[in-house]
Amino acid sequence: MTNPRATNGKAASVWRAPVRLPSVPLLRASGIIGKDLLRYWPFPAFLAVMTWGAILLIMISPQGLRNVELFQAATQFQQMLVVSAYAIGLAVMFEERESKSWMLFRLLPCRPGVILFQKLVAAILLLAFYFVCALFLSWLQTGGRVYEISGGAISFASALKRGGEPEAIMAVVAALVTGLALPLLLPPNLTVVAIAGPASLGLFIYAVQFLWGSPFFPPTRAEGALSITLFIWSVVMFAIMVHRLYKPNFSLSDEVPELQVVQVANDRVSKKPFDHPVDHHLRYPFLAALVAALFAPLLFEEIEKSEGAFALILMPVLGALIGIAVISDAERVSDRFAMYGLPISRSQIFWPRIRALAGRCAILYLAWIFGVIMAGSLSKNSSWQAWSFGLIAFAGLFSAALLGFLFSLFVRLKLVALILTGSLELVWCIAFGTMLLGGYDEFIPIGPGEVPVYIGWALIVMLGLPLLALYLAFCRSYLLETSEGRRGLVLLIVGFFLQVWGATLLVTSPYYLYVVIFG
Amino acid sequence: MTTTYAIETLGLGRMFGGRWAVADLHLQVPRGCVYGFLGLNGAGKSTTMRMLMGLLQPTSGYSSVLGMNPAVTDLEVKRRVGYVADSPNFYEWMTVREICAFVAHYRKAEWDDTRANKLLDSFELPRNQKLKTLSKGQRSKVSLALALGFNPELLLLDEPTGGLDPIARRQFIEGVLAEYMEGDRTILISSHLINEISGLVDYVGIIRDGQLIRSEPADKLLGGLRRVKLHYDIPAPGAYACTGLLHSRTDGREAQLIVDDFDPERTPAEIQHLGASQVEIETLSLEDAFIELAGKAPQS
Repeated sequence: MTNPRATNGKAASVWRAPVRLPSVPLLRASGIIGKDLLRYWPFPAFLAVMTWGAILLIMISPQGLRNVELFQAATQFQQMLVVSAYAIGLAVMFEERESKSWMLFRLLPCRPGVILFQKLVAAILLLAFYFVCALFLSWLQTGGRVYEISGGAISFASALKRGGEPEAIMAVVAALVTGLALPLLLPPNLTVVAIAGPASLGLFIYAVQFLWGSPFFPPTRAEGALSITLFIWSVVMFAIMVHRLYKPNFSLSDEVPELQVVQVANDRVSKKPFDHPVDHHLRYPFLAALVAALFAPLLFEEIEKSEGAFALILMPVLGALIGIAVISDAERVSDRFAMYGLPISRSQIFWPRIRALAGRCAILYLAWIFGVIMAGSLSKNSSWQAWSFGLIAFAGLFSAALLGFLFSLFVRLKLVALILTGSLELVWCIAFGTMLLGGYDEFIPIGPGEVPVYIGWALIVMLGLPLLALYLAFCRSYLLETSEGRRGLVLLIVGFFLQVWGATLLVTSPYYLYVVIFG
Repeated sequence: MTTTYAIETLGLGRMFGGRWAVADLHLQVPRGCVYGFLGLNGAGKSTTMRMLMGLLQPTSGYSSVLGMNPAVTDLEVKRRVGYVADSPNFYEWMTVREICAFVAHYRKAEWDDTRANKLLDSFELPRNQKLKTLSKGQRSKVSLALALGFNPELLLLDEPTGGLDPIARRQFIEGVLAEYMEGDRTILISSHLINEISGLVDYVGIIRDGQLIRSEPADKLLGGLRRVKLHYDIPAPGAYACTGLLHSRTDGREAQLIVDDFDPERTPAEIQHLGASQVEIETLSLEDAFIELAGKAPQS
């Protein structure tokens, strides 16, 4: 074959077929997903929380709640799908254009589409992994306590066969399509709108319910309390989303620059000098979580115990990750960040942020602890306790890493700061976890089929120890004024563990799904 | 108390992961001058500047900036010193106007709104545009406007013209910096566009592998450096004896010597003894001088 471009009269050289360009190794692609997750976690986490709230709101319509068991089944089913869709959608498309890793890979000799394909494959494998984990856990749980906890819930499949509750099924399908398809197909901003949509729909349904009356009032009844909690939750979420999308313009006026400067400083800059102007609104989800926790006793009296309590685990853990939003990209490269050239001390930079973070975490954990204790006292279920401990360990270590990262950015005596915060967090985790599990005899299996305690401990080992290692790696990396290479490695590890963390979230849903579908 | 030097360092050093990025730096920048701080990539220029701003703690040594130790009184240093980082980062969600308001809030009394506006106008920066939408050159201009908006006594400019187009570069160097220097101000500037700043600098310091290898007035440095081209009728010998010889390069019948400490009477006489049939002696531009001094010695 001759080179079709050789037209300059010289002897046509032998044209070689294009060299097969290398593809990105799967592990690397997986790392990219992790990196993207790390970079863009707060916002999607926020979306996920909001979506879940919105879907619950839809499900609380009179038709949906007529059959509480179906409501439970559908909720769990949707929960799994929404979280899965969220994870896949995030991995595949979220903000890729601005991802540095993505940009870098564009410069490498890879065919267009290879990376996307690899990421898709990685995401699918990841989901397969979750599902296998779920099946395994479900197998462990079949006939055990979880089945009892689920109350022998009617399966979604049998509901379909019976042809009953069509409105509820339609609600499930609608939420499923919204949750699964839209994040995959739409660009981020539209996704935001699409996610905000169900929330507004939920509000509308609730408004109709409120106007025309419903069997769930007065609010002293459990369902009414749940409705109101979710209503507040959705209103707040929707307001935040609207605010994020259409934030007010703080532009200055030329006529009165000094006054306006002060106003900007007060309204936008001084109060939260290092946060995005609307980031502080993200505290509200935690307040909403607190409200939800206050309603928890009512919730657990009527609705299945562990099912409802799961929300109280999920929300804080997701919310904890919103704390990452405290660090902006610009500040990650602190020496080159314009702010550091200003006559302001690092403590002035550091403490407002720590206060904000601590405030968030405090509300978060208060709500969570309250919910856990209440649910624990009501359910007396060891597996659930163990799960809780695993999640505590995880959330605690994650926040330790987060605090460590912040300290490493702002405190000069980094080693001391890191050791102090890390130790405090660790002690807190262990103490609180022991408090939760203390007094229970379920460390020893009670009888045949009751193995869940081991799962909890396995989680602690599986997640806690690697995260501790990760935390140390993080610290070490930043102590050494990390080079890009080391930072990349650390991010890869973080990405991997975030995926493991995602697995723990997703595992819980298919685990119920198994029980619901296969009974 | 007013010190002679705007910047003075004694054995300043900074180690990163077991490697000295800056080692035993003795730097003296007189007040009221423009000091060209030159070095190859990774030579330690940015690290030095960050230590001088108090952004990095030195591993060893001491520094004095306007009579203050930035490792201790970094706030006061920042109050009086303007700094432009080599790749400045901002809050991307702010507009140009907002970042100015933001910085003005922290600069308080020192901030000169008129001057800042003048700079924004001269740089043709769109005030209501978000920083994340600006080009690299425009971001550099924002960074310069922020650093110059409060009339600092000392300017630390780390590659300030990176990303600027030629017109903007000239405007910045001949307009903004020249105007700034009308007062008793000092500038420490590092740039790879050496020819563009050569007319501006009074002193030159060359840093290599974290160590200051030259620091002297620019005219003295350039006055003492010569490139000597030797043409032979036979293959050039390869070994040359000459006072102040920095290095030599031989190519067939031609040889090129870089001579420091050139003496109009002594050096030509010494060169005559090298037996060349033809001799050319050239002065060096600042960029050539930098290449010869900061680069590794070529193979003879």
